Parts: sequence; structure tokens; C-alpha cells
Amino acid sequence: MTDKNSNTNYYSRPGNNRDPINNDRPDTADEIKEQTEAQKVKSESAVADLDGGDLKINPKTDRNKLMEVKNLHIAYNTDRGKLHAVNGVDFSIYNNETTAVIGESGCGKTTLCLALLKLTEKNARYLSGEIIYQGDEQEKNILKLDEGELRKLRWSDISLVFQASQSVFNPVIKIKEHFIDTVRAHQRGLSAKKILKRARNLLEQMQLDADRVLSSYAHELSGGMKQRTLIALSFILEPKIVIFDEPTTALDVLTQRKILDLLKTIKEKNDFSLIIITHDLAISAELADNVATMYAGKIVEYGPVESIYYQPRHPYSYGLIKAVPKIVAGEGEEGLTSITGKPPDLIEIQEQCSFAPRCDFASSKCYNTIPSLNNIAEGHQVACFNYQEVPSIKDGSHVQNSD
Amino acid sequence: MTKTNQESKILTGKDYWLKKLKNAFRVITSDKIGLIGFFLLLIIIVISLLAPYVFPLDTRSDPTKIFQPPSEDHLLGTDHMGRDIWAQIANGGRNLLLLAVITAVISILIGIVLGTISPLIGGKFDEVLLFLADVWLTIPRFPLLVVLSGFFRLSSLVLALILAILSWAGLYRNIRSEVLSLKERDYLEAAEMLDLSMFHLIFKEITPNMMSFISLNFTLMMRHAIYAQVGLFFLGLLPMEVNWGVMLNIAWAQGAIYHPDATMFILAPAMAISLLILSLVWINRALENLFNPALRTDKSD
Amino acid sequence: MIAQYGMSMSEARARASALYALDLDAPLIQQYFSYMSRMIRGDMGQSIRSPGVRVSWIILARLPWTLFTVGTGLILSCLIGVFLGTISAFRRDKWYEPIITGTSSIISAIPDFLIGIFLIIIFGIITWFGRSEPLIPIHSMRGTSTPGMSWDDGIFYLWDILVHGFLPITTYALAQIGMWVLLMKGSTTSTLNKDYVRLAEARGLKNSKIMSRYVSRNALLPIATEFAMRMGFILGGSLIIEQLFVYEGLGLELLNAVHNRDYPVMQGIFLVITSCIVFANLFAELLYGILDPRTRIRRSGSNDQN
Ligand SMILES: Nc1ncnc2c1ncn2[C@@H]1O[C@H](COP(=O)(O)OP(=O)(O)OP(=O)(O)O)[C@@H](O)[C@H]1O
Ligand code: SF4
Ligand SMILES: [Mg+2]
Repeated sequence: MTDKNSNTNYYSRPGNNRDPINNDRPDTADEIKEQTEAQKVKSESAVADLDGGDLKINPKTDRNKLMEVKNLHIAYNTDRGKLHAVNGVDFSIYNNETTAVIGESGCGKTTLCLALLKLTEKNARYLSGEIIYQGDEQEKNILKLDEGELRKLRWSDISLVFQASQSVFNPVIKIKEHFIDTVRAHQRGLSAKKILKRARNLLEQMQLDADRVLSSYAHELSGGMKQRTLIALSFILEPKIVIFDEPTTALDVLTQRKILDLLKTIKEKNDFSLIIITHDLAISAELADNVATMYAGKIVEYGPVESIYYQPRHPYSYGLIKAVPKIVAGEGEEGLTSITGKPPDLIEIQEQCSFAPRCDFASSKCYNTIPSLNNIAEGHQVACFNYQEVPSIKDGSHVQNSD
Repeated sequence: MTKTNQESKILTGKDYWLKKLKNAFRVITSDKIGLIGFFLLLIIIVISLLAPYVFPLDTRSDPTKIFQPPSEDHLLGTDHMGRDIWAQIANGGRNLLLLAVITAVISILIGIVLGTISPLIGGKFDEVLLFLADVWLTIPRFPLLVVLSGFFRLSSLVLALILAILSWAGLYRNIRSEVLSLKERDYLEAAEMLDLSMFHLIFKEITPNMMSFISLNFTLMMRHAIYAQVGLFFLGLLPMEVNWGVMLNIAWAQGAIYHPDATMFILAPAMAISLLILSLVWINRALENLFNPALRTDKSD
Repeated sequence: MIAQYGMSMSEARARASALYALDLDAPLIQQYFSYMSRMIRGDMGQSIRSPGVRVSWIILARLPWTLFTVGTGLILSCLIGVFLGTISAFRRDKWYEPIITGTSSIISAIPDFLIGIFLIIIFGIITWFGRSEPLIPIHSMRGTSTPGMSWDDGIFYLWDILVHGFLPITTYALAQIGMWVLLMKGSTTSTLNKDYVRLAEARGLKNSKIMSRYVSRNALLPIATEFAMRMGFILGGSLIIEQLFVYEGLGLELLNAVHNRDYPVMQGIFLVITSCIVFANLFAELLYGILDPRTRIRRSGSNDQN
């Protein structure tokens, strides 16, 4: 049992009464467990409803908007011209919810996430839009912040686990220096001992040999260890939003599994919003409250995970889900289809639904008008003219997890 | 919506090379400095080849015209014996270039052959050769050439040979490690199994895959060769002939270097050498861009 | 040619035999071994040109001058080059960046002795702006110091040494500076693109911290090794430059020995030049091992993707 005061004093900010991640205080831990238990029951009932045939989703009430992305356009300057990697994105992040972003490679997921921290590559240009962050004090537009304000916001409010996190640690300094540097950049005058105590705690939650990891150089750790270390590092300042960009690709299945389970426990014990980018629909089904489907720089569908996986409304979401082999064994794979064709070249600006050339439901309107993202149910938005024609997925086991 | 779906079929033979060539041309022309280097070298080569007919050397000295400044008759003025400097410049690059190419070709041949057979034979042979290469790389080439010229009477051709023998180690190491990694990718093993001749292996399988190393090394070797030749000529350690290094040597020996009127006599060959080497450096740069797309800003392919 | 040296081959042979205390009729390999064994003991024989003078004395007398000029040029060029290289990597959008990079790539291509020649022409021969004298009195700056001066003259001697070393040092510095600029620029640029630098940014670290701890430390790794390697070429690189400025260092001594067929001196100096390179290589490897933790256990088979 660690010293309660030292933790809460140093890591909570005024006006912020979230639990520290170090959760060995029985009272709060139990509380949260109860909460999540209740949530589970709730979502299970939604699933049961679906199985019954008629669609009734229980939208979450009292959602607190933490971040809102409005009409965001980001283009990369390239030799061929402007590459519109994010092309009019609208979506929101809610307090303590997990949002999964799915979509095929190159559709702009990473660009979008980097933009949330204004951390895009040098050749990226923010053409329009805003990212409103509901911080502790007041709303701010992240894209308008100056370097100093951005620096303060980064990692202490929003942290990001990079896509290729195998070389994210400085090879010439030890892992512990990374933890110390990070904390000291935001909270001055903290002793190394206290920082490391906290780091140790997080690493242990990640099931790592904390002392060994801290005194190692990055090259002395395996890929999975580096990944878990980075996840631990991403929680060191108790950010309100944690972004995971494909946290488990490039890892073996067992390590993937392990990291996901760890993530789940951490998520259950703590208050933060999680954005997780993944190609693996099973992962998102397991972790997410909401799913955002991205296609060619746009979010084409956003909604509660149950809706999207049982009753997708966008033909692209539908295609993605149908393309996943069933995870539960014993059932045939006759329903398996893949989306033919390739996503459009993001350099060309199109005056049509960008999915039209690949869409089975396309009508003539689709070829001359861009569909906008519209509310079709509480908390469910779709950018498609013919969304009503998209059938529901009868067999939900496509993306159901196996447990 | 454009159909940019390119058939990603494997190109063979002529098509492959044609595509490579087109690609090379595109990259080289997109790199302006590389293009300048390319044309510079071309001009130097053309002048060198035509000079004997267009700008013949003055065979006789003319004491009345010693160290004249540039004029209509004498584009770059005259030397200490009243001979035209431009004619010497125009004729003075030919042998340097020729011997530089010879050096580069020989050293690259040695590098390729050893670099290919060494990992294929493997075992002790490979180990010893690798060790030898490491030792070789520590030899101070230019001082050794100077010392050798004290023992033997070197000619330009012998110099080229020695220089080539002194310079195989770098390329050998590159090629060797490349062959090793090619060997791991299985296609070479397949070729080996077909019992192809060593010649076929070297020139059909390995060399085309290592054009980048080879062409980069080629320009690099030419630079070394030119430096060594000019340096030795300048120091008076190679037999006299008409070339830029000898011009420097004579100018220096004649005190032209401290003689204000004779500035052209020394400046002209110095500039000529600099331009030749610069053209090689710039071509080298363009080649690097060509073979290493990651360095290119252009991400279109 | 031999006549030019004032000595015939056989004459030289006889002398060499006497001076080396070698039996020239013995098998070559045996000659070699007896020569080498004495070499290792520091006995390099005596000069042919000046009998009675030990080769090791000659080398010891000349070595400091070469070390001084080439070493100073190396350090200067490295410091300035690293500075300019860092600037041009960070300020890629500034107007002076292409100027720095362009000049560096041109200057690094030009052979060092041509740079020396250009320096002499620009500062020592051409009279600029209607002045009657060139900018630098080049004639009085030949050699390592003004004849007759010694340490007895104290600070004046020191100044004299600096004045005489000025052109060679400038030449060495200029000849290498472009290489340092390009190396540092490349190394910094590639470090800036590394994931760990972006993550440091994402973690909200101060720019100064990122620069010192994350960028510079990694970008300087190849510089440190290259510097150590270059130290090896300190002695070998001085041949033509010393001839050009009549600077009486090791290189000029080697050239004189070659012209005079002074074999013991030739070999002695060459041996010193070579061992300098060998030691520098060892040192470079050692240094890299210390600076980069990855190399410390490289042989244990861990594969790292950084
Ligand atoms: N620095 C850059 N310069 C130019 N184009 C870029 C740059 N970074 C990304 N892109 C392009 O922008 C588009 C979106 O890239 P992004 O990395 O956001 O995709 P992604 O959805 O994360 O893909 P993946 O699932 O493969 O990670 C791609 O077409 C990519 O080629
Ligand atoms: S708008 Fe038309 S083309 Fe686009 S997804 Fe909907 S149906 Fe398909
Ligand atoms: Mg990505």
C-alpha cells in the first residue's frame, strides 16, 4: 500500500477529482468496479434486444463532451500537390468513453490523431476547422494554441501511444530518464524518487519487471515490453484523453491479447477517454463504447459500438464488418465478402461520395453530390444517401469477442 | 476518379531495363544540380576529345610572349615559355579522365568479384578476406603512393593499377554484405541450385541488384584517382606530360604561384580540376537520389 | 632520374645497408623481420642524407608542427562545421540554409591543396582595391617560424608560430569544414525525424531539452566517431599542403626523403602515419562503444530497430 497523500497531492490538479491510476485504495476501486459492472449489464441488454430482432439502442445519457473536432481539413504538401489526408472530419470525444477509429490503411487515421495534439509532420497544413478541447478551465481551440500552451497540454491532458512505437525511446538514455523528463516537463521540482515510484507502479500494472525496465536502455527490451512501457508512460500524468494508434499491430497474438487485457483493467479502474485506432474489429468491439468509421479522410459513420456492429448504416462499415472472418468457431464462412477496388487518390478533390466507385448501394446522386454526416438516431451519424438500404448484420458473431 | 491501378506484374528483360532507364532519366533530370554536374562532365569530355584537333598545343616556345594576360589570341594568357594556356587546359584533362576511369573500373571489378565469391565460398576464405579488407582500409593511400614513388618509377598506368588494388576493400565490404542479405532472400539460393556459373551469378543476378553501390563507388573512385594523380604530378613524382597536375607543378616550380602576372597559369588548371571533381560529386549526388528514394522528397512512387 | 638525386642505385644500396645495419643479401623475409623487430623497439635506423641523425629524432622534431597545424585545422573545422550543420538542419526554411549547404558541398569537393592554392592567390598574390600590396605578406609567412626565433622570445615566438601556421591551418579547416557541415546536417535531420524526438515533443518536453538530450546527443554520435577516425589522417593529410606552404612538418620531411631516396626516413615516417590511423580506428571504436549503449551488447544478439 503506497502513501495515499503523496500520490494525490502531486498528481491531481485543482478542479480535477479523478482517481489516480494507482488504485490500491480499496474504496475507490470497488466503486469503479461496481460502476463498470452496471455498464456491462446495460450493454448486454442492448445486445439482447438486438438479438430479438428489433433495433433499440440505449443511448448513454449525461455524456460530457471533452473534445469536439469541427470540419477539420488537413492536407500534406507533396510533390504531386496537396494530399487531403483529413478531409472534413466532425466528431466528438466524451468523458470516460472509448472511441474506436476503424478504416483501411491510408485513410487518415494517424493524421487525425496527430492533429489532436497538433503534432502532424512539417508538411501538413491545417486548411480549416477547429479542435475544441474542454480543459479544466475553459474551452480552447488546440489549433490556435501557441507553442507554450501546446507544450503544457501535451501528455498532461492528451497522451499518444504512437503507431510504430518500437523506436520511441531515446536510444542513449535509460527508460527511467524518459519518465523523469516527462514528469519534470510538467511538474517542476519533483524528486526523481517520487517520479520513479509512480512509474514503477504503472509498469507493474503493465505486468513488467519495473526495476529492470527502468534501468534498461530501449534496445534491451523486447517489442512487447517497449509497447507496454510506452503505455505505462502514457498514463504517468493522468491525461484526460489517451490516444492509442494501433497499439498492437506488429505484435504476436499472445502479446496482443495480454496488452488488451491490461488496457481493459486500466480502463475499468480509471477515468479517462480512450481513442483507439485499430484494424482489428474484434478489439474495438471489446473495448469501445463508440466506433468511428473513416474513409478517404472523412468520418463516414459514428455511433455506439452495438449499432455499428449489428446495424451498420454506411455501406463501407457494412463492408468492413462483412470482411471479417467469424471469430467464433463452428459457423460457416459463407457470409464473408471483401470490398473490391481501392480507396481514391487523396490528391484529387472529388465532387461525389468518395466511396461511390466501390459501393453496392450507389445511386446516381452519389456520383454528383457529397453526402454529409447526418444524425439518424441518438448518437448515431452516417454520411450516406442510401443508408436505409444497408441491411443489418444478422449474425453478430463476426465481431463478437470469443469470451 | 482516375484509374491509377497499375498492373504490378513483374517486368522482365528489356522492359525491366527500359523502365529503370526511364526512371533514372526522370530522377536525374528532376535533380537540377545533378543535371549541371552531368553536363559539366559531358563538356569536359567533349573538349578533351576534340582538343587535339581544335586546340592543338603550342609546340614551340615564344620568349616574347611570356606570362601574357588573357587576350583574344590567348584566351587564358600564356605560360612561362609563352605557350597558350587554354590549349594546355583543353588537352590536359584527357589522360586524367582516362586513367581515373581505368582505376575505377579495375577496383570495382576486384570489389565485385571478391565481394561476390567471398560470401558464396564462405568459411575460412571469407573470414580471411574480410580481415584483409579491414586491414586494407587502414592503409593511408596517398602517403603510400608517395613512398612507393620513392622506391619505383611510377607511370600513370601503374599508378592507376596500384590505386585500384589499394581501393577494393570498401566496395568489397558493401557488396559482400549485400550478397549475404540477398542470399537470405531466397531467390539467390534458387539460382544457386540451378547450378549456374559463377559468371552468370555475378553479372546476371548480383550486379544488377547492386547498381547503386557500384555506380556510387565508380564516381567516388574516379575522384580518388584524380586526387592522387594530380597530387603526385603536382609533387613532381610522376613523369611529365601535358595535364592539369603537371601544369600546377610547373607553375609552382616556376614561381608562378608567387608571381602576380602568372596567376592565370596556376588558376586555370586549379579551376579545371575543381570543376571536374565537382561534376563528379554532383553526379554522385544525383545517383544517390536515384537509388535511395527515401532521400527523395517525391513520394509519388 | 637517379642522377638527379646525386646518387646511383648501387650507391644508395650500399649506404642503406650500412645505415640500416642490414644484410641486403639475406633473404628478403629475414631482412624484413630484423628491420621490423628493431622498428618495434623504436629504432628506425639513421638518415641517409644526414648520416648520424636518427630517424626517430627527425620524426620527433617534425611531428609537433604537423600535429599543431592539422590538429588545429581539424578541431576548428569540426566545431564550426557542427555549428553550421546544426543551424542548417534546424532552419531549413531560412534563406541562408541553401547558401550554407551549397557552399559546403562545393568546398568539400575541392581537393585540399587546391584550396591552399586558391588561398595563396586570393590573399597572397592578387592586390585588391588598388592597394599596392596583397592582403597577406605571403613570402614572410613560409616555414614554421621566422628563422632565428625560438622560445626565448616568449610571446613573440608564439605569435610568430601562429602567423606562420595561419595559412596551413586555414587550408586544413576549409578543406574539411564542408564535410562536417554536411555530416552534421544529415545526422541532425535524420535524428529530428526519429520517433523518439516526435514522442518527446508529444510528451510536452521543452524545446531546449529535446534539442540537448534527444537530438544533439544522438546526432553527435557519428560526428564523434568520424572525428576520431579523422585524427588518424592528421599526419597523412599534410603532404601536399606542407609542400605548398614550405611548412617544415612531417609531410614535407617525407617528400624530401622521397626526393633524396632517404629510405629509413621514408619508412619511419610512413610507419608513424600508418600507426596513427590504426590507433585512431581503435580509439573510434572504443569511443562509439562508450557513447552508444546499443553497441555495448551488440554481440549478445539483441536486435534493435532504432
Ligand atoms: N508526411 C506525409 N507527407 C505526405 N503524405 C503523407 C504524410 N503522412 C501521411 N501521408 C499520406 O496521408 C494519408 C493518410 O495517412 P495516415 O498515416 O493518416 O493513414 P492511416 O489511416 O493512419 O493509415 P495506416 O492504417 O496505414 O496507419 C496517406 O495517403 C498517406 O500516404
Ligand atoms: S452515398 Fe451512395 S455511394 Fe456513398 S456510401 Fe452511400 S450509397 Fe454508397
Ligand atoms: Mg496510421
